[in-house]
Amino acid sequence: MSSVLEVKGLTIDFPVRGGGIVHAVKDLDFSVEAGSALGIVGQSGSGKSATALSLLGLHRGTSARVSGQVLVGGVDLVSATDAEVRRLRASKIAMVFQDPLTALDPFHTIGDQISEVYRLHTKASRAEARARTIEVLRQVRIPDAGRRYRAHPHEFSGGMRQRALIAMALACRPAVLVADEPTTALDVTVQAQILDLLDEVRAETGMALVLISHDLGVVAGTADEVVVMHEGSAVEVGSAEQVLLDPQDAYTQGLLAAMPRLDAPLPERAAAQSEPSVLVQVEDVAKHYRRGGAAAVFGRGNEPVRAVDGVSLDLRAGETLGLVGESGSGKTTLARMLVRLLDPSAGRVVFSGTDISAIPERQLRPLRRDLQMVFQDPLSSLNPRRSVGETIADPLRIADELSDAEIRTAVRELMTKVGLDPESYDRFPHEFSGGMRQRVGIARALALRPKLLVCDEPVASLDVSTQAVILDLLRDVQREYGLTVVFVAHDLAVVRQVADRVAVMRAGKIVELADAATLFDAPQHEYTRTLLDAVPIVDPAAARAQRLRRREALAAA
Amino acid sequence: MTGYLIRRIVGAAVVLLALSAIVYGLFYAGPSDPALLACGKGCTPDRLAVVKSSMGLDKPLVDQYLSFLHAIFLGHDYSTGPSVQHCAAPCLGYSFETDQPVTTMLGAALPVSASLALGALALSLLLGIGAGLVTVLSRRRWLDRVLNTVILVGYATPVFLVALVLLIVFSADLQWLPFPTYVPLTQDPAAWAQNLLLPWIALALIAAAAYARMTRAQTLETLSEDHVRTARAYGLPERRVITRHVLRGALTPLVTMAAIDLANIMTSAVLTETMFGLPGIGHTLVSAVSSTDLPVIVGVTVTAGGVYVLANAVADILYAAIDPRVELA
Repeated sequence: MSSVLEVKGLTIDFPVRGGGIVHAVKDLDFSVEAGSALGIVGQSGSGKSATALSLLGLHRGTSARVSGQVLVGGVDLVSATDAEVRRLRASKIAMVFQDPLTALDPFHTIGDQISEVYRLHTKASRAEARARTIEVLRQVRIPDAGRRYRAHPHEFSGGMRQRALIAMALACRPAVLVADEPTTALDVTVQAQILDLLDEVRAETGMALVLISHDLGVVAGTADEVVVMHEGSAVEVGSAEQVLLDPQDAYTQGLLAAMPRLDAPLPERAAAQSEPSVLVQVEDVAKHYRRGGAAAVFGRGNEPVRAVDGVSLDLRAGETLGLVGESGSGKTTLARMLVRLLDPSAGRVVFSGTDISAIPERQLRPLRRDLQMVFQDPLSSLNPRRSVGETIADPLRIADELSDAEIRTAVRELMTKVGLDPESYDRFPHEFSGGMRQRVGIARALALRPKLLVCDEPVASLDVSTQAVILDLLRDVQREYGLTVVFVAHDLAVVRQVADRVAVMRAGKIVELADAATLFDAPQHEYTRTLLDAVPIVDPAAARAQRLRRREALAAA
Repeated sequence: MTGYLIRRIVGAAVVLLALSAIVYGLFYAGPSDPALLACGKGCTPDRLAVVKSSMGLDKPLVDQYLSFLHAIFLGHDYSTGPSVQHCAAPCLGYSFETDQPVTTMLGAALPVSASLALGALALSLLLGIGAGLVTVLSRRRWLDRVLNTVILVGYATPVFLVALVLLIVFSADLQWLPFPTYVPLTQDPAAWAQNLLLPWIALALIAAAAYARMTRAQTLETLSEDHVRTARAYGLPERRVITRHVLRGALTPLVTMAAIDLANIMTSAVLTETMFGLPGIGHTLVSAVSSTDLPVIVGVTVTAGGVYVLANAVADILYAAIDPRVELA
């Protein structure tokens, strides 16, 4: 077999302000055979994206310093002229980016954008380019490709746009396709479809694939070889089976251990109370949004958007309820109504005997201290101009029960409890890492010793190793404070680790609510099964079996 | 689209009604009495009463306002002693000062203002977008700095100063251009442009500075967008990336800005009009205000309001035509 892509001694440095240098990639070597798939895995800051960009010479014109060799079709992209590099792009090596929502030009039709690339590299006529574009759109399973040719990007869903970008990559029949986190911005079922598609087009076209991801599960079912990157270096290189099932390097082992997986044994749980009391009763709660002005006045659009559409559930004291669903399922809207950050359009939310769904703010205020929330993005949910100590102190100051000195002591205790150095009281959010910021968010939520803690995707923006630590912390504080926790997440494997019971939401409704063990081992609802079958599995053989199951399910449908 | 137009027209009508009502109200709250001014020195109370009644100022405010509205849609008959003068709809009344119909005065002033505004806008867009793009794309540090400085100076210079310098240099000293007098476009296009060139330049220098800054900021932002990276990653040459995938997005916001500017120059370029002696809308309004000429003030204000509403609507429609994501609904 011949290599279609060879990387030798690749080193990428970024000069930073103040004269320093960040070594993003250090002396990296790998090669990709025709028709094979290479997975590059690493956490944020590992240098995997810098590597991906260098495979197409995309560091040109930036401050990055690239050395070593990137050989594509016998040409070294590091030393070639700009014109040579441009000729190679799309025709020999093509790239699919992370965020399909922004990767296409909003002003031109999907078809025009693909045709433009094809004509540029092949000198084909308009008609030929159009025919080829429709052909590749069909190849990526876009229905009614002839008509969709004329669609603008905003008329496509995220998954469809990623398909269109893959079609663009296929148009000039390149030898290598580089996919940089191609599914990170997508829902889990769409992620599975895109990964399946990449696998299929590789088989159909014989094109090699470089799949870059932070998620070991994403590469497991697709890659033949895996490179694990850490701080700019490849710490482990080998076949997918060897790296994922029998890792030799300590870093890889740690990464695998930290990864939440569906096939791990369920964590031990304290025996449930014989007669668990109900902390929150949710009765037929709904949140409807009116469509914007004109649509409501002129005909169409009188139908409101039903973000949450009639949900009832009991939240037992001391339990952790997982709330899972894809984007737009209404899980965040429901979570916010539980703590009255949103007013329900209908139904009741009864907290400790009080219906909090419609009482005036003044009556709600004494209850607010019992209802706390931890948000998804720890950076944007902290005031950047306020020190972290003061941020944590805010709820205590509003409660106005302690003196200034007592508040400072209490905050320092809280900081210690969540694993922050109390000496960093006067430091600001931007001086902390993502995981540390989330600790600040948790400490703030705990300050008034709440009864209910609603966590909305608390670990979604964190690396797996940090995820594991934050999940441990949440478990510890729950035990210590006797908290009832609602854990909103799109990641089923994470929810499986933390939740006693799990509610699956779809289109504003709960389709299934069951004990974690029951839900994950014997899902009742069709949609739950689809979701579970889409979760990436780390074991390569199992992942391939799962892909086969999905394909059969699709063929049967 | 139909729904959009209906809402737009209704909205415009409401705005213009409110505008005329407010101007009426303000005028009445003001300290000077137009009848007294018209009557002149040594005016007897009897004479004043006659003047008041002939000017229609003896009726209550609301009646006056309603008859003003009535005149716009249905015309109005003015009785000046024995003779009756019919003012056909749309009638905005007669100037207290000159006794000319207000519509005639507007008809004379509007083409002047429109000529001034359209030419100045075209010139400033050309200069502004050009300078903005050069600063971003030249990649020559010194050129970027020089142009940025020029833009900043242009931004900070008062129009009357620019106008004065232009007049002294080009009209008085070098005598390349005549001292501006308005020549209608229909009469002699060459003379029209030649006479308006200096006012255009004076106005354009300032507006161009704003466009250059906007162009620069927007282009820089668009250049950092993901889809531009996609275009580069697929081998598009830089020139094509810019012309096809950057400019359209970067320049779209300028449409709104230009529409508002057009309305602005048309209705309130008083300084420029005065400096160059052009009898435009702004000029007409200022002299009407100084002589408390109510019909002219209201007529000009409502017309100016109409120009703004129209310019905004045009901007919205253009925006929707340029950006496929925007729907007029």
